[in-house]
Amino acid sequence: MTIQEAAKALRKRTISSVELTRDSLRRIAKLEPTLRTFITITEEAAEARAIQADEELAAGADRGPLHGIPVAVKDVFSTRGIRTTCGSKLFADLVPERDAAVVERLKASGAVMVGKSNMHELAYGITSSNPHFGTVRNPWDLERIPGGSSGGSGSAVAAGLVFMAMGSDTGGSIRIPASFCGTVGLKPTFGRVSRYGVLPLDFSLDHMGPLTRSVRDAALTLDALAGFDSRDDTSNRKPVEPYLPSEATSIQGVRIGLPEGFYFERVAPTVAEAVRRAAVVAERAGAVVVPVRLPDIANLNTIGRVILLCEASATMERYLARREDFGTDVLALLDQGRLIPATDYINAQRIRRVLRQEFQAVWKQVDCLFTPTTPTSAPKIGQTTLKLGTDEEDVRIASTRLVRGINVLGLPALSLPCGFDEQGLPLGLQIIGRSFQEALILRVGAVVEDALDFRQRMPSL
Amino acid sequence: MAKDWKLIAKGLDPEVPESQLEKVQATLQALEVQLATLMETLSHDTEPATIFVPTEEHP
Repeated sequence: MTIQEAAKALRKRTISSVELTRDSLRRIAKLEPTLRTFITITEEAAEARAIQADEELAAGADRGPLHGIPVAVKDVFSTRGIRTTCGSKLFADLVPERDAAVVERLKASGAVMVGKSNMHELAYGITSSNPHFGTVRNPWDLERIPGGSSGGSGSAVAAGLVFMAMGSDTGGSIRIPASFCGTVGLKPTFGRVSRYGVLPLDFSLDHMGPLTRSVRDAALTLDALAGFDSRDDTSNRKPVEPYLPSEATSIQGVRIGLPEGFYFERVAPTVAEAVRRAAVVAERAGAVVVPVRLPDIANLNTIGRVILLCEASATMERYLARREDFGTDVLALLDQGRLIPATDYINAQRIRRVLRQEFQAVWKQVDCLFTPTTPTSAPKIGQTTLKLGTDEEDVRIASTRLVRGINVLGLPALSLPCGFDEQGLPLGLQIIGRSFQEALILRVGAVVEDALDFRQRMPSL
Repeated sequence: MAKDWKLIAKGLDPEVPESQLEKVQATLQALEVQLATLMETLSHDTEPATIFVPTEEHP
């Protein structure tokens, strides 16, 4: 069931928020020992909010489509009175006195938070094998990673534990778990959703967005989250627009670019085929698909890595005397960032400006881009390298290769399921748009999703 | 010019242990080379993508 379907049922009184919430909590209790999707489960608070949601709806006080819907929030978002660990031993007992802006907006929209989802330690990695709070597992194959860093959110949505889970994305951390878990993941434009109250990883790369079971659910969540927030210096004043595509939405004449080179090199053949098939589906729906040549994405990835390493180490430097409190992979990255000179960081930010200008030319030719989200389906837990053709590649580098550059540019990007491989694992299509063109990529995504019709396919748990 | 990563690692407080440096040195060196190549085309007056923008103050 999607948020849209549950919202209709709530208004018809064929189901209540209390029933939805208890169902969600029951499923969490059953699957949590296996999936390890949550760090904190907020059972009592959820029950109270669900009762309130039912009372409000009965009284005609309708807060919109998220009203009464069970959701989860990645444990990087501050929650007043509820511990917020960021998946780290450093913050294991941190109980914030304020809500993050995203949490405030979810509360205002009537959503029922059932818990704080597990994640890669400090949101700094893609496996979500957390040394302090457990290894999150992929509901499609329990021996595989869900992706990360928002792995608990991806796993929880894919397993049907919640209807929506919030994630954060610094180098693909919403889109990678969406791709590996077969959910939708939306990374909005930098500045579209407030970062206030989120424990930062990288000041100039962090983005906040939802993981959901459908593109329209991601759109209606963005409706609730988007908008200016004076407490976040990077928050944008550009007015928000309605994001939810109608049932009969059209993509007639929309120009979709299918990039040559980088995005289809060193990609599993099943992934490339699935993305090209999605492009054909879009073409049949009236879009115009054209080949497009992009500026060098490998360059974007290089400066993205330099910026990520430096900003993350700057943020965490004060804690680095407590070396035993970090997982080995995260500590290695934090040490690496400290070794990069400030001049390299500044020059990376200078090159970032040039590459952003170069990318502008792309939008004269097309309205959005279709690419794979990840070059393969979900790797196995503990797997360190991937073999693509004759090349061995580090799992972390490979999994972020097609998504990291988009954070450097700050562009909106959507990942949605576009097929399954021979092992029955989901594959992700990434739709990248111009800044603040979330409505367009959601419209294109909704049409492709309707045509591909993978929504009913769920993991057997 | 190649950097002396060992010297930089020792100069930090807390210092980066040698065993850790062995794990990350190849990546650092590769990034350094890639960045240097990109720098070759950068014009002298290009500003960073993130710059300080003073806003009007409302006391």
